[in-house]
Amino acid sequence: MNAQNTIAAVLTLCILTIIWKENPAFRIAEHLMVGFAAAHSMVRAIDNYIRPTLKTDVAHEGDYIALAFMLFGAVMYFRHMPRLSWIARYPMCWFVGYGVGYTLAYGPRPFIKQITDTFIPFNSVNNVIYFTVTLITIVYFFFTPRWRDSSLGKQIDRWARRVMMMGFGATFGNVVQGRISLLLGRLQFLFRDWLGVMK
Amino acid sequence: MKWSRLSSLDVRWIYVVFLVVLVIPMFRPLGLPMSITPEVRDYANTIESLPPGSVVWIGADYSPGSAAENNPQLAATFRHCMMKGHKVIILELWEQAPDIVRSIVDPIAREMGKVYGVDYVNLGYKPGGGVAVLAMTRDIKTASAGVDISGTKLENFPLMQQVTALQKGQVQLVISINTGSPGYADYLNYVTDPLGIPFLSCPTAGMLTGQMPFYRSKQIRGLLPGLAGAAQYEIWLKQPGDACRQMDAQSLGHLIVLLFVALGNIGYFASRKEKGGASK
Repeated sequence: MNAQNTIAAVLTLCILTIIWKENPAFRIAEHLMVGFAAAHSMVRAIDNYIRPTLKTDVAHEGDYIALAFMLFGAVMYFRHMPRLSWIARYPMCWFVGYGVGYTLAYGPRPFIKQITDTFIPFNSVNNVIYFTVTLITIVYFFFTPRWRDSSLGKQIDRWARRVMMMGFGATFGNVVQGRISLLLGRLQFLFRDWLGVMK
Repeated sequence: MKWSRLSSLDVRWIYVVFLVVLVIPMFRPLGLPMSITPEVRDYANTIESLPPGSVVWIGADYSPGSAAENNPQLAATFRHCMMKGHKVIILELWEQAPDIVRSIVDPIAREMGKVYGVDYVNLGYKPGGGVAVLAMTRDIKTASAGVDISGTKLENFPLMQQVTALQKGQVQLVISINTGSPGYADYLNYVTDPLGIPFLSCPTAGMLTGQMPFYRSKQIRGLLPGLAGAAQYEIWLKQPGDACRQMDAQSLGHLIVLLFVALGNIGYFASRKEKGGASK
């Protein structure tokens, strides 16, 4: 039972007290977690990326472009100065433009593969179900056609909702499984790593 | 007994029952049987079929919040790669991942007599998500500020002299251990699909349904979903570990959830019937 594990165990128990009711122990652990996570993130970025870039690329190799971009990014902090906040829009324009550009360039490819994957022979029950479910789910999201009011349209809507509910149910089931795993991980930590009562 | 009372049961009773049911099999395993699913078999076979010395890129993109699911996946995957003599490069796009990853892979490497820098390299956390991954396809050194997790220059490692970019021909397999974004989608969109590198994914259980279509279309060659996937993989490897130890409790947990769902529904319908009766 070392100090490190004891701190982690006490904080785990503080967080678990929320099961009983809202209380100061939970609040303290929650705030500690948020604060530490923010600080940890900042330290990691500086330590593992910003400092080596400045040290190697800029100072040793004279790559001042990297420095220029770093300063350009830092311009975003102007948003905290009301009179100069407009300057902060420029790096934001860059990020949004770049982000949209590369998403558009690379995004469609995987989804086109998904579409071609629905061109399948009806030689198994799985394939028939896969094709039908894909088709009626896509049809469900056409909101404008008039035929949606017909009895066939209503039938398609009903079945599309049903198959989507099955999908959500599968996701929910998996999430439950995941949450149990997380609890087991914590219990294993408490009983094995902290208390040492489990092999 | 008034069944309608079930629908207003204090939820804390459920927690107590749940805790008791989960704790008992952790101390006294029941040895419930487990079968290996095709996704897990494909996952294991993909790593197994690579020739020794192949370079495997592992994107370990998670945080302590999902470590209970992702740690066993990483441990089993890394162990398998080391057993087969593959070289492994690890990158983390989540800032809280590097310390967890180090605590998992370093002991396994030590146990198996593997050398850091020769058999595996941990690049550490690099900010930027998908942009960082995309940059890795051009030049790893530039994209990672030229250093690994400890700040050591990459040119000092024989493995990183051999692998300069995340490109087909240099990297034979990409594996994403993921719990959200950035994660598998970044590798799929920017690396494995455009470059044609085989891709495996280890999602948390909750992310499985979102990734199944990609497995169906072979964009993901194999999946290791959550703790259950990791446990199956451990069995496949004949190296039972943490995941296998927890599976009895996991299975009983599911039974309890099913039981409470059934009881909750009985309570709901009973209370509806009572209300209906009262209104008459």
